[in-house]
Amino acid sequence: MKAHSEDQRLITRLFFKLLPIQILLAAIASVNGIVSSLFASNGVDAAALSAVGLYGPINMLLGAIGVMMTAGSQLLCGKHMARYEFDRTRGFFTANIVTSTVVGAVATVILLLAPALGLTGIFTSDPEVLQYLNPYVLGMAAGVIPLLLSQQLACFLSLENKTRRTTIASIVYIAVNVLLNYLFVSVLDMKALGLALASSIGLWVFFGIQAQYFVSGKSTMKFSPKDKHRGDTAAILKIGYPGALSTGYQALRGIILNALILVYMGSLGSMGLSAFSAVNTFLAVFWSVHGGSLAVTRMLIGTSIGEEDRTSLANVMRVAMQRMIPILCLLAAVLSLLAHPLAGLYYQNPDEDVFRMAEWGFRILPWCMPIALISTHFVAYGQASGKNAMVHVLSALDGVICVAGLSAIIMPLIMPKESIAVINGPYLANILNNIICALVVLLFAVIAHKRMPRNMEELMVIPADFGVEKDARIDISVRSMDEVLTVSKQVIAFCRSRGIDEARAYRAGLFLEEMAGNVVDHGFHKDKKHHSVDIRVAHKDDDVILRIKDDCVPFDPAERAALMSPQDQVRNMGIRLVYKAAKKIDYQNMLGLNVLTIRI
Amino acid sequence: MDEIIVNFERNGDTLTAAPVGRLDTATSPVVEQKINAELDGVQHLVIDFTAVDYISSSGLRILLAALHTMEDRNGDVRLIHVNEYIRDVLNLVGFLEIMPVE
Repeated sequence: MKAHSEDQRLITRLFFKLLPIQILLAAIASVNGIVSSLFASNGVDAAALSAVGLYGPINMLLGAIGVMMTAGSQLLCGKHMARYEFDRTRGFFTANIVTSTVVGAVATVILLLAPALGLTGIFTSDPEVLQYLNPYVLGMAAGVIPLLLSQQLACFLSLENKTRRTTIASIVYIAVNVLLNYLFVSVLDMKALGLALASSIGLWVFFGIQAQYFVSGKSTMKFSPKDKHRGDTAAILKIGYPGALSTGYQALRGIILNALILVYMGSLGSMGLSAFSAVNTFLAVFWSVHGGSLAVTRMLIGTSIGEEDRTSLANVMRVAMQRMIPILCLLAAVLSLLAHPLAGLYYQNPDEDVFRMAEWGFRILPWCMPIALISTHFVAYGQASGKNAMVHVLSALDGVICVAGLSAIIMPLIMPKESIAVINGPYLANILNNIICALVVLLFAVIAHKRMPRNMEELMVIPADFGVEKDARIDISVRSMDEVLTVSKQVIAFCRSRGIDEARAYRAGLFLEEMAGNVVDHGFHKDKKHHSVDIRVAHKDDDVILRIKDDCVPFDPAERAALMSPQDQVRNMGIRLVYKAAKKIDYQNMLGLNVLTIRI
Repeated sequence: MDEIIVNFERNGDTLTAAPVGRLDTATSPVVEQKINAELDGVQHLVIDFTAVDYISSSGLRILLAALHTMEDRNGDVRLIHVNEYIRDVLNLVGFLEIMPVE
């Protein structure tokens, strides 16, 4: 029985169970972006593609608002779900939906009025582009509310372990988008308006499939105005705004970098922009692996903090670093090796300057993904745990200061001036930015401990008073009935050592044998996978708290207990015993784990 | 399975079985086997809990099985020297109503 390594295995299995859907969700936007751009360039013309590109900053802004709401809600709902405070979970859910709808409605009105008020002239004064941009903005306005709401519902569906619904909705969305683009653009020749309406209608379909679960009566999270507290929206925004701030910084970074490329590359500036844009657009699909890892980490951190589980909290970060960095390095290596053919997807002539600039970009920029993992995941942890200084510093550095600043320093130094080699300035600046941000994470830990950190807990600077103190808890994982029985005896001894009365010490050992034993006997063999049971016994507030967590098929003991006939004395005697004798029992299936908490 | 000692004392058609230690998932089947092997000619089964400090549902099941076995042969079962914690568990599952406990 090894507490840390078994918990780490459990976290690893859960991490990779949740990862695919989060990658899919992160990739959806880029896939649909590619669909739209292909129909724009092939079905309409280059000016229409400019309209799609010019709408980009608006999408980024809406995305930032969505991230702000999602990040805050994921952490708060995860935390309260772990504490079985479902009224608070409903409160935050309600606050999220109301706020997202109101913001979406306001944005819709602004976008609908924008062409009439001449606001689209801010992006371009070219009348040829404006004739496409105005109807495009109108069409996209129809999809703003479902865009924001579906992003939120995807997060809540993940917390309720209903990610399959989001998978289905995503696939349907892509299919609807493709079909409607074909219908509106290729058949009906609706041009830019058709492009936008295809996307907007697809988003309503996506939202509808997700929303059906929350009105079906089966969800834990329900729209419940009476559970919403006055400060809930503010609490969500307070946790989530650094994420939005980060996206805002990135938008600013984009503007500055574009300007630097034009200034330092002279006549080659527009080709430099084209190459930079091509590389970033293509790599966006692969950045979804990083984005998926971040979303999973955020969810798992939220629940670990809610359960005040130091071990799991450190293991989440450990698993993310140890598993995802090598995966992203492999991905970066493959993309780098394929730099030449990837550049060829956009530019046919390898002798052209723009081809070579794109090829360099494909060689260098993929390496940002594994290095960036460190700072982005620590920002997520910092947001959840209130380490605001680190979050603000990293957001500002990663968002704009480092890349823009380093580009401004490096580009003028590259010789010959105004040559294609200058484009390597922003490429290298991106790599150096991620290295600097990783070192800043380390620096915060060094400042806190006044020495180098020795392990992940120290690197994370987890406060000493977080969770239950070491000598007031046992954390252990078991994989067999023999181990369950050994731990049962250990638990009784632990309770006695903590001065807990003999009756409760007995019950603690007994309940552990009954409930963990049930998991080993019945849950382990329902499928062919390896399983373990993660056990925590804590002495807190004079209660003995027994938490049993497993990754077997969902099983609610209370449902089983409710089905039992009082006349049948033999079946499920253990469960009956526990439900009769425990002070409080809570069961939850969260993020694919059965979590049973018993207070004695 | 764990080895558990069960001391037996026979007095005519009365058998006293005294397990030593825990009656849990591992030891209960062994205790059941040992008791069943000694039931020839027994009408009154007494299970002495002097040296038993723990019982789980597995142990409760073998008590119930022993009760049914003895009832089938028109015999009886009683439990003696049960400590307060085990008595509490027996009470929770209703065993105090179906077999004598001292």
